[in-house]
Amino acid sequence: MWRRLAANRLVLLGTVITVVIVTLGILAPWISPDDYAKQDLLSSLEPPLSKGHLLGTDQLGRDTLSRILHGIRLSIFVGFVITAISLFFGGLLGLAAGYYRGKVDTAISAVIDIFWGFPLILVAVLLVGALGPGLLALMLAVGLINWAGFARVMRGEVLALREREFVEAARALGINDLRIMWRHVLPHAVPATLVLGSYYVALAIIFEAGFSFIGMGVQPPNPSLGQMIGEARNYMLVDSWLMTIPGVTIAVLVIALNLLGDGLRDIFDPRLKDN
Amino acid sequence: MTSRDRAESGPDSLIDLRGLSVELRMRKRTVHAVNAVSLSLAKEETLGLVGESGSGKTMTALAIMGLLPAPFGKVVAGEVIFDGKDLTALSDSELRKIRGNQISMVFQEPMTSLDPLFTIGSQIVEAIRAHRDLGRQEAKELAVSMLERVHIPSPRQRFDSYPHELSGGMRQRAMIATALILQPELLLADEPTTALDVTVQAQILDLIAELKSELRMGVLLITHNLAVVREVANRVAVMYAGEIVEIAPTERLFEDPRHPYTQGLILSIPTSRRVSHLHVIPGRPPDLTRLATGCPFAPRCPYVTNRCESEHPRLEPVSGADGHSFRCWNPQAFSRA
Amino acid sequence: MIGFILKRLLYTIVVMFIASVAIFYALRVAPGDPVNAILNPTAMEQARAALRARLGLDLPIWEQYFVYVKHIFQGDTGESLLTGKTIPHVLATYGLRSLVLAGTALLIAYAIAIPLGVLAAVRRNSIWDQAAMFFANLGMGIPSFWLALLLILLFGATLHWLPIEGSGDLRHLILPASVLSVESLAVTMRLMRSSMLEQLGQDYVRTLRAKGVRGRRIIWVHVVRNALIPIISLTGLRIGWLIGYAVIVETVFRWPGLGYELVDSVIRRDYPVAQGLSLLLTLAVLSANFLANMAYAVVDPRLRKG
Repeated sequence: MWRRLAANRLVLLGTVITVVIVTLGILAPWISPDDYAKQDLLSSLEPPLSKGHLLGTDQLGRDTLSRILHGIRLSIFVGFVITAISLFFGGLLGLAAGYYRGKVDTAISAVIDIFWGFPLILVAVLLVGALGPGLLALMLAVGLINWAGFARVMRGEVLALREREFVEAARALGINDLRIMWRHVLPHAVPATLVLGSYYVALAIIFEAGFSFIGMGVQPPNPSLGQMIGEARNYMLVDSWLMTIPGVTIAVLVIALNLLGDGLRDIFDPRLKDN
Repeated sequence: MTSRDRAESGPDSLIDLRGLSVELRMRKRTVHAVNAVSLSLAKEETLGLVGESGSGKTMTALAIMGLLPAPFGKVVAGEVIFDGKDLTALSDSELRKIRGNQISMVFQEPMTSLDPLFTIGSQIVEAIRAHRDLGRQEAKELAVSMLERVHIPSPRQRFDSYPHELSGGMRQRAMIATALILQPELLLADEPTTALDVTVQAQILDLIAELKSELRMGVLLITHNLAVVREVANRVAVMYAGEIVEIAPTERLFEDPRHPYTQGLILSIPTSRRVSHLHVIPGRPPDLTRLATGCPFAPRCPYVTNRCESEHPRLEPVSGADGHSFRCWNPQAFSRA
Repeated sequence: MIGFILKRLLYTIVVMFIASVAIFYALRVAPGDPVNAILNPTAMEQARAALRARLGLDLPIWEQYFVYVKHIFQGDTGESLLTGKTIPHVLATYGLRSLVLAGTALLIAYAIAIPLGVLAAVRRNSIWDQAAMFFANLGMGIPSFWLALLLILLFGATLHWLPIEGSGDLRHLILPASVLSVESLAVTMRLMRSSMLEQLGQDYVRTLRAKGVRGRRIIWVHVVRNALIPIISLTGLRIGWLIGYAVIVETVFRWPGLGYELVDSVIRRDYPVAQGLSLLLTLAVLSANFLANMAYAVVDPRLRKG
């Protein structure tokens, strides 16, 4: 399996970059040169490669590198944690709907359909209206919408697998339903959900960035890559680095994640790969 | 090329395959799908090409049409002589003029072989207008009369039907109509009845036979089913591992098969007498990524000798029998057990 | 067919109902109310209370909801608490603008992505294919607002070619629509390519070649039409997504559309406007999905019967 991943160089690149960035983000508190909130108005808007600040400083004199690292940390947190949670709950419901079918399926599918159609931005804006801007509203919104996607995919996979002979055989042997689901159905259904997961992580990261950019997401002084771009907007003409660096970071991370998702898809379902 | 082959390819020949070899070159391996096949089809003759899947029969037909799967399918040796030209040497645009026009092909799966978004009538008209300069109305009339000729009821209404609205048998009739609308000289039929119900199979075969004599075509009928071939073919060629292992006029093949594989195939046909114990050819189909040094059938042959495993047998004519050749070092007499 | 339409209609009504309740509650649950935005901050508490009572904001939330629904059935959809403009007017103005923006973006995306997708598939693994895929990947990763800022920097500030904020004429539309189209373009191109590749391997293509049909006709008349089916079915989702995602682009370019106004109305707690816009957005997404399903049935004859 690893050999197939390595075969496509682009995918390999994506995976490596993702791993590197994620690691940087996790280690951020330990490897940041400065406290990301520490202001130093005397050395504000320094360009990159100036003394003591590898990537320069922002308008309040805060070290850009530290803020980037912590921003990455936040993005990863939002992306992976939320996706993991919605994958778990969505997957569970999708599994139940697909396996048991009948009334259970109709009920769950109805709920899925309702959430599936909702525009994410609307839910997010309303939650901000209700809970105030910040991470909680954002993560709740993303979670509320994404679980439906996972549920759908899981349900589809399970429905297809259910018809396969080995499931019929297991049931004929009288094996406990839960055991069948766990040992036989789930391992085959999970790959497709994982592929979707990687795309959703990327989506969550971009969404957080955009939302923070317009000021409804993460609030200062907590660093968010999107928020950094938002703040940098006012200084765009004076110091374009401030805007460019976080933007490039987001772009690289998201593209890498998409490539990783492509790679996962190629591994798990070579049929889908264009032949 | 033996003297036999040369004599076969006389002026009567509709199409002539000479030493045709096809390879499928993929990234990690090369499949030798067709190995030095030589065949002749006379005008208005039905030749049955029989073999199990993977024997190379479909590839042979595709090679004739120039429809080998791109980019890995290639003709690596031999010629296909038709209408005084070598088809393997023609460019794709030259071949395009021949396809559907002088040589047509019908495929196995009528459902997936037709574009689901277009009516069957429009697909026949498309075949017409690809080669003839006819107005839409004229082409439509031609198509409708062809639909009638293939015995599709209410042809004028059916003209506007979509493929999914027709039964399997009717779809195959529509495909035949499309293939024969321009009255080609040669029809390549690749397993035309395999995907159909048994009752419909006979109808389709009858249809092909009927149209063949009406249009005075030659037919290359490809199938794995010997029983089918017995009904309609004048001659039968048996393929194994990409080669022709035996070729003979139909009745002769069934009465006096020489090659052990042919014998095995004939014995495998269930008859009312042999219901209790079905004959089976032991072993598995050959691996075509490696050309066998000896006879490709050796691993499965009940009469194999040392010579069979080391020397590749040549196609030899049967003395006293016209048009019957086979390749085997150790033929045994055929006994219907 | 009829059954399908009815089912969809029922579904839409249910979702709209749930949405209206959820929206209503969400807006009122948080602290702060529109009074502060309407009145002068130094106004007396009495004036505030009086205004609240007049607007019916002192009732418990569920009661407010019933009043709201009652008004709607009486034909009174309310007006903006801030500007006083009637809600239908608000919806029409902002909604139309967003529609123009999203529609243009989609047009741009499809006009570029579909031919490129076909080209990439037909000339597989060529330099065109690889370049197209590279740009598609890029397009999916670049955050739109960042791209917007880059373009503003380039075209607006440095080159002074295009205006960078507000709406008005076609020139104002170009940058925001282009930025908005990027993600859709990338996704559509990838999808078109893989759809084409899938179709090219189908049996009917072999039959077409066997009939002697010209290659160009095979591709553009048959394969492309079959390959477009998944794209068409996805268009509905795309439009819904675009209308929503346009918020960010609208904010950057200060394009006064639905998203922009929605965010603003939520912040200033202009309940009627926020509710109206939210419901409009929900309805738009639902309609887009519905239309996509219908289009699917129109295009693919296999789905027409039953």
